[in-house]
Amino acid sequence: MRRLSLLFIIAVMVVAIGPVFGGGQSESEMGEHGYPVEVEQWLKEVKLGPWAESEIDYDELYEAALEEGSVTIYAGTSRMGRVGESFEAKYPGIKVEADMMSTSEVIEKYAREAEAGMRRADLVQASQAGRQKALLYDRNHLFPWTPPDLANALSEEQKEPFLHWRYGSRQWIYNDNLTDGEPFTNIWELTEPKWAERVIVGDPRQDGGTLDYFILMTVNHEDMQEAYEAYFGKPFSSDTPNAGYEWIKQLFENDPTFVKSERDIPAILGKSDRDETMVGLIAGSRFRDVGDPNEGDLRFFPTLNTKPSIGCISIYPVGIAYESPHPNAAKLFLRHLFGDDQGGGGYEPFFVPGNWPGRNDIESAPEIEYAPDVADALWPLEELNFWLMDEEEVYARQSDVLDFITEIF
Amino acid sequence: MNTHSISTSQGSGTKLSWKLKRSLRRLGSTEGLVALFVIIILIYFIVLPLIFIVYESLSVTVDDLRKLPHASVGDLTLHHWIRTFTSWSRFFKPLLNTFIVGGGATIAITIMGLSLSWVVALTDLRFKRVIGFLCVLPYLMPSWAFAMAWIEVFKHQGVGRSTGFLTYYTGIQAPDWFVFGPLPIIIVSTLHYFPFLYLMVKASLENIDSQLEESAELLGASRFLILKKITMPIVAPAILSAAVLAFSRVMGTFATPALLGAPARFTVLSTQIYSLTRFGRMSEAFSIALALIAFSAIVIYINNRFIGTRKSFATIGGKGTKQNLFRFGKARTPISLVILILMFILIILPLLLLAYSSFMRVVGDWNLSNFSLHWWIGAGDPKLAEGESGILVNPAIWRGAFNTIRVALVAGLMCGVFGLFIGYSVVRLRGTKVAYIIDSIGFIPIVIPSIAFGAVYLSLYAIPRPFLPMLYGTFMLLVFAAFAKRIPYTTRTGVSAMHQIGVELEEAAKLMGAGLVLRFRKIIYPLARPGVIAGILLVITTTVRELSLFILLMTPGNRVLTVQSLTYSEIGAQQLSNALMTFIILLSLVLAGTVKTLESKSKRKG
Repeated sequence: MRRLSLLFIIAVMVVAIGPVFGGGQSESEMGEHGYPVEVEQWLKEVKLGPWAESEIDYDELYEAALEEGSVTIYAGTSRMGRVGESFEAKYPGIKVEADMMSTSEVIEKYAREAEAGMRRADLVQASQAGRQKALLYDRNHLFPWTPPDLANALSEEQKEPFLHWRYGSRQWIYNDNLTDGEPFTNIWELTEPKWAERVIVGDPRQDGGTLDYFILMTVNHEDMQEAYEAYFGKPFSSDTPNAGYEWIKQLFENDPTFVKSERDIPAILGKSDRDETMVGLIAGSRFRDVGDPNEGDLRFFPTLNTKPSIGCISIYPVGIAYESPHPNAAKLFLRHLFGDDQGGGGYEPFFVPGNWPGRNDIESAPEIEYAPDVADALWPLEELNFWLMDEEEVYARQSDVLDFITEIF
Repeated sequence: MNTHSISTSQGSGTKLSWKLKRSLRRLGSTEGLVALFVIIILIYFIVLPLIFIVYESLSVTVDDLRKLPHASVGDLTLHHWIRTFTSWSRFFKPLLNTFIVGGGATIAITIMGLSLSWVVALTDLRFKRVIGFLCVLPYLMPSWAFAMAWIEVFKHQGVGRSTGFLTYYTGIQAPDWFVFGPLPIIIVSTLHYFPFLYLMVKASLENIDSQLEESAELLGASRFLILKKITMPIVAPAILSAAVLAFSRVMGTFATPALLGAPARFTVLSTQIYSLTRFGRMSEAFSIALALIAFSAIVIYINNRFIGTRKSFATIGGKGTKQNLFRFGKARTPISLVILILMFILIILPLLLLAYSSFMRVVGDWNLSNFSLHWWIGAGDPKLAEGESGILVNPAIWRGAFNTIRVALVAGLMCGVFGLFIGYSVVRLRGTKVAYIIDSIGFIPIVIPSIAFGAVYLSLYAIPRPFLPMLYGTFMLLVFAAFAKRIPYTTRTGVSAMHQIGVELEEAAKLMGAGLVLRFRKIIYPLARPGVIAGILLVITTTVRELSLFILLMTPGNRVLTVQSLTYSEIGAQQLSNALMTFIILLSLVLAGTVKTLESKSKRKG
């Protein structure tokens, strides 16, 4: 008997575990547009991808969304809560569920749900576009949708393979109350002894945006090499793979100050009582706080003349989830996210210096109460010497650069 | 029949068969039934997820296609294992650092926890209730609270920070290695995790029958000899268990080494695991977790060998227990005062800093004119913290609090009951393989990083499987995850509580015809109570402030309180997040207090 019960337990275990490992996706037939047939079926049904309409009546869309009653968005920013509030005010009767997590959690959660066939999310918004493309867009878990009335406000590259909703920067700052002019103009200066312990960066092993910036240095290594030769006046040579890696290595040898997150940086270098100037690498979103007495009256200013670039610009896509339970509400919300051509409406929480809209028809710069000079300096985006993040290449190199950094950390 | 055929085969087979027979005989008994139940639960909540982890660590993910362009997703591969276990910088160096920090902290925790539990349980110390309370308090705090307080006090411009309290008021600059690096991590971890050891050892000290010590004294044994021959052997299992647990917890903490280690470029395994999970390398993180599981299995094995070889520690016999307290004599008041003041500085001060900063309208301005209730009861002001209202007037907070309380209470009670069963089967079957297996499996979840544990639960329960209901999106999934992740706590408390209960009481009851349920209700539970309650309290208080375990599992209807803290930290609202943390600490205090009160009431009645 006891034997039997033991056998029974084992049998139960095997049956229970078995399906855990059954190979995820079955081979499915391809449709006319290169998606699996059932995916095309759904795209046709909800008018996405090749079947997207070129005109849309938003009143009808609202009617259809009202029947769905709610919309769920996974977002990598807490500001999505405010978008939800303005959406509910503008479209009464549709409830917004904004699940706000960190970017890596958004991707992890949605990818696991989607692979398991769980359909909860209607929209997914986060950064790390390269990883999103590989895990979500390329695997038909997420689809871009350009609101027809914005077709002219976005270029073709901004619409596919993922929709560029907005941009954010990772860039260098300094406290301009402590120094005349910019403290450095070539990125290689930061590897010099005089900058030892005075460069503050987020720990790239924890801080995704900082890591992305370092990776981009290895991608744009030709620019880095040019800047090296301009600064040191000698030809570049190194035992590291390229000038980007070399810069990372030399910076790390120069004892930079690491903090857990770039968030902490303004509070360290922006105080007026500092003895010496420090420079730090922050996310553009921090500029919202410059001079704000409620945030400790910190002063910091972006560098504008750094060679080869003052920082980088990442893409923040938003996409509609495959088999979204509320596809019409999802479209309506996506449209709301883009706001109006004054940076108002659903886009309002993001219309701040250091963030830039995806739509190209907003003319005026965002305002910031305590530091209008910062807002002016950061607008328009085209005139700033940023690198645009090569999202796919950065994703492809992520493991290598992270390993390199872990090695020399 | 089968048994027979094995036993006739060979010499070694005979031995095997004898062992098998013995364990089967034991399995058929009451202990066997309890053990069977325990094993089934462990299979569902720990073994299945564990197998899933092994599987994930061995299969190709979408992210891996960058490195393995010719593989396809789901293929089996040794890629992650090889990458992990051949790397000095990604595995062995952080492993070494983990041992340095974990070992140092465990020694300090043992010294601190042991001395405090002794003075509270077995001496005539004054202010016992207050000191006892202070000893539990650190555990209610988030692990980063002490680390943040440490930085606030000791930071200075020499380490690339602004000026902290110490330098501001005294001009003294603490040396760099004192501000950041392994030493502060050890100190901060000790302050945060010593309550583990304190709670468990105190429960076991309180169960010692002082007649044992008195008899020894009458026979002329010296204090030292009594300590060595009687007290220590009795509490040794609890100390060892708690030390192992504390070591594992220190090993698993992320926030403290991230805040205090990164500036000194000091890496430990938890920060390494976190870094891997952040960048789509969950499988490598799982590989490291597997190494940690193997490692703790070894530790438990050694632990079991050490304790398991002794015959018995049963100290609660048929006779009642009473205890004589050690008297400090004249030194009583001074010693009590010194301990009280020390505890106040170490524990209350950081907590007050945290609470006070939630009353500052503008961050970092300690002036009294800056005092404000805005973050607690203020209506949303668009100029402050993205217009978030004060936490007490935010309905989302109250919904979250309700969910938090539900999860913590249900998981706590489940853990308490289950811990008792685990303790019962492990202790009663001591020396058998079954006991060892249960004990080891029950320990596994503690070394699995919370975020990874959440990911496994998400994948396992997101689709219906035979015998596994689809739990994703339900409240019970949060409960089960919290329960499973904390089984180690109650395993430890359950085992050390059961160690002390003699088998003869139960045997007597059995002879009188008492069934299993009656024996648990009337004998086992009442005697093991302090340990069980300690376990429940540990589970409740830690669940209340759990975040990373739940973050992937939560769905709109069942959001917990801590999720909101993420929002606050994202918008940089330090004061709101501190207010919420203070609220969470108060909540766990109230919960823990309620459980204790209810329990002691029921005890008086029963």
